[in-house]
Amino acid sequence: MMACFFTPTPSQAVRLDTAKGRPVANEQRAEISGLERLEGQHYERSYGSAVEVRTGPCLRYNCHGMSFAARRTRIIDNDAIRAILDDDGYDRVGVDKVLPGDVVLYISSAGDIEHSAIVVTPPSRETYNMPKVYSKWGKWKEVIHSANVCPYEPCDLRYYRVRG
Amino acid sequence: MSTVTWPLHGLLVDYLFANTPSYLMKKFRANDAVIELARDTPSVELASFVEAVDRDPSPDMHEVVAAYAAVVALTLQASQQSAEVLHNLRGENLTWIPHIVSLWRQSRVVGTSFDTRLPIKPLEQRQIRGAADSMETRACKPFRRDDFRYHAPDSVPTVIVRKDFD
Repeated sequence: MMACFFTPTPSQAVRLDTAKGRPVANEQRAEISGLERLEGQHYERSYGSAVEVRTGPCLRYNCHGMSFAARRTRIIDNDAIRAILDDDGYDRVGVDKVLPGDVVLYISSAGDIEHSAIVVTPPSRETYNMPKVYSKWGKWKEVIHSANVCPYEPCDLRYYRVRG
Repeated sequence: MSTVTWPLHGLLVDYLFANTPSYLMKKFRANDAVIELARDTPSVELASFVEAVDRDPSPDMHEVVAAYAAVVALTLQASQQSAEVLHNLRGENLTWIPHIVSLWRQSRVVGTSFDTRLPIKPLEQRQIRGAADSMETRACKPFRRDDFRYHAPDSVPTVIVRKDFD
């Protein structure tokens, strides 16, 4: 029988602070169900060769955990991300100044920071201003993809770089 | 435990890719199955299902997704009963429930209407005379800014604030 049980172990958090010592709310999960794995594989196949897989699925961290917490945990709170941007000294970067390694935030029409990614190839006219990025898709995998080829709204992309 | 009988396919994918509770809520609210669930299922039934899954230490994957769908369905129901139910949900094991309830609270539109009918106070004869004198005075000297200053009426206008919560 297919293993399709998910044990919602009580949410755990790790000690995580901004550069200025403000605590960052976070949560960890350790398991992914067989059913989620199947659904994810099915969905991933629908993208064909447009996405390149970097890692296996992992519940421990999400996109924001990958971008801002060294893949140790999941950050789900917009205020926590704003605190990191402020305290860690991120500056917003214009689309014409983007470099590999910059962080890109996907702001939904409701204002939610629903996704984040790391720029691999900056946006250009040839790519219709869409960068190539790598990102973590929720509980699923890290994938390399064009910023507009993913399950998230790419209509408001904002780029950030740590101030040197 | 309640049996989940409605289609979950799209919901599972949304749940899998959700980075934030806001994303999950947005996707679930747009899902036809959740809209139907909100339309066809009483709040109390949805709540008892959510609470049963939330208490269960090892729920089935379907049930976890269905429970979150039920919470979102409750946010779609615009009734006093669903509001009370949402206020009472705990989210002990399903840790995104408090986030979803919080988002629902923030997004609720509080309908406010103002009735700004001012009491009509009949002018006294001396005020009419005074106004006429003032007009005569203005006719022979330039207007000053102070002439246009608003003078509040003697009584406070009647303001009725109605909060349409549900």
